[in-house]
Amino acid sequence: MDTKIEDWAMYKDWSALNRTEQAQVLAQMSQGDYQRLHQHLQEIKALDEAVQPPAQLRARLVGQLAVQEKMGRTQLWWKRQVPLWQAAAAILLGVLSTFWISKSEPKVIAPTVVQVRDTLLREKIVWRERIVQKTRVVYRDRDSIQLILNNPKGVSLEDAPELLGLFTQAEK
Amino acid sequence: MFKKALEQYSDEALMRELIKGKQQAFGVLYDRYGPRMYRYFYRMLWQDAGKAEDFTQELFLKIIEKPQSFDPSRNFCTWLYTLAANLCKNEYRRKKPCELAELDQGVLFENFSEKMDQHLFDQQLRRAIDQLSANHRQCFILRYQEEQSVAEIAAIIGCPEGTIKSRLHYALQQVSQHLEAWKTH
Repeated sequence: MDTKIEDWAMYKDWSALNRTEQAQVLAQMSQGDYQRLHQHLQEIKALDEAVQPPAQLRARLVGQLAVQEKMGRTQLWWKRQVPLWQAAAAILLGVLSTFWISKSEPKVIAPTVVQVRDTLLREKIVWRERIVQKTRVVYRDRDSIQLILNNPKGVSLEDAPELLGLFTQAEK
Repeated sequence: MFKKALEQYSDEALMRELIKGKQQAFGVLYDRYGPRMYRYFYRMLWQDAGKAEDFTQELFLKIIEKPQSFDPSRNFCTWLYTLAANLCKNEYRRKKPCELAELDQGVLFENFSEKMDQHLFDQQLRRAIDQLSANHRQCFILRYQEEQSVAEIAAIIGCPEGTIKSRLHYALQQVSQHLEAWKTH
C-alpha cells in the first residue's frame, strides 16, 4: 500500500478526499476498504488517548529540578562539564609549563668534600732460625778406651755400663 | 509572565534555556511532552500505569540531570522519543519471556457473546497490538498512535525508512485482520 494513501486514511474521510486523491485510492483499493482502513486508524489513534499521568509526577520532577539546581551550585561543581577548548587549553598550558621548567638553568650545588685520614698499623712478625751449637769437651777415660781396644767389633751397653757414662757426659 | 513568553519558544529553544539554568523552561517542556510520553510508555509497556509513571519520571530526570546531552541542532521531539524507545527496549530485554508469553495467551474472541461495547473493542485492539513483535509494535505505536512520520521513526529507531514502511505495512495488516475477524463475530 502506498504511504501517501495511508497518510490520507489517518486524517481524511472518503468524502474529505478530492477527486484526484479518490482516483489514486481507487487504483489500489475499493472505497469500502479505504473507509474501513480510515475507521481502523481512527480507532487505533483513539485507543488510550484519555490516559493522563498522575498530577504529582510533574510536581516531583520540578522539585527534583530545584534540588539538582541547588546541588549544581554547591556540591557538584567538580562534576560540571568543561568545554573541549578549555580542556585542550589547560592541557597545552600544562605541557608548556613543563617544557619551560625543563629548559631553565639547573641550580648548581657545590659539593662539600670532607677528607678523613686514619692510621694503619701493619705488624710483621719475622721468624729467624737460629742454630745453636753446643760444644763440649769430653775427656776420654782409660777404662772405656781400653774396652774398645779389647773389643774391636764393639760391645753392648749391657756388657759395658761404663760406656753409658760417655753419653751422659756428653749430655751434660 | 515569563512563563507565558516561554510558551512561545520552540522545543529546542526551551532546551537551550534549560541548559542556561532557567527552570521554568522545564515546566513548559513537561506540559508539552509529559502526558504524551506517559501515554507512549503506557501503550508500549502493556498498559501498566505504574511502569508508565516510572519510565516517564526516568525520562524527564535524564533531561534534568544532563540537559547538555541534547544537541540543539537536532529535533527535540525525535531525540525524546529516541530516549524513550531505548528505555522500552531495555525493559523488553529485562522482561522474562514467560511474562511476555502470558500476554499472548489471551483468547482473541473471549466474551464475544457479550455486548459489543467500546470497552470490549478496546480490549481486543490492545490484544491485537500486544500480539505484534516488539519491533512491529514499536513502529506501529509511533506511527498510528504517536503520529510520527516514517522519517522520524527511522531516526528514532535507527533503521532505514524502507524497513519501517515494511514493518508498518505488516503490523497494520495484522491488526486490521484481527479487528475484522472480531467485528464479523
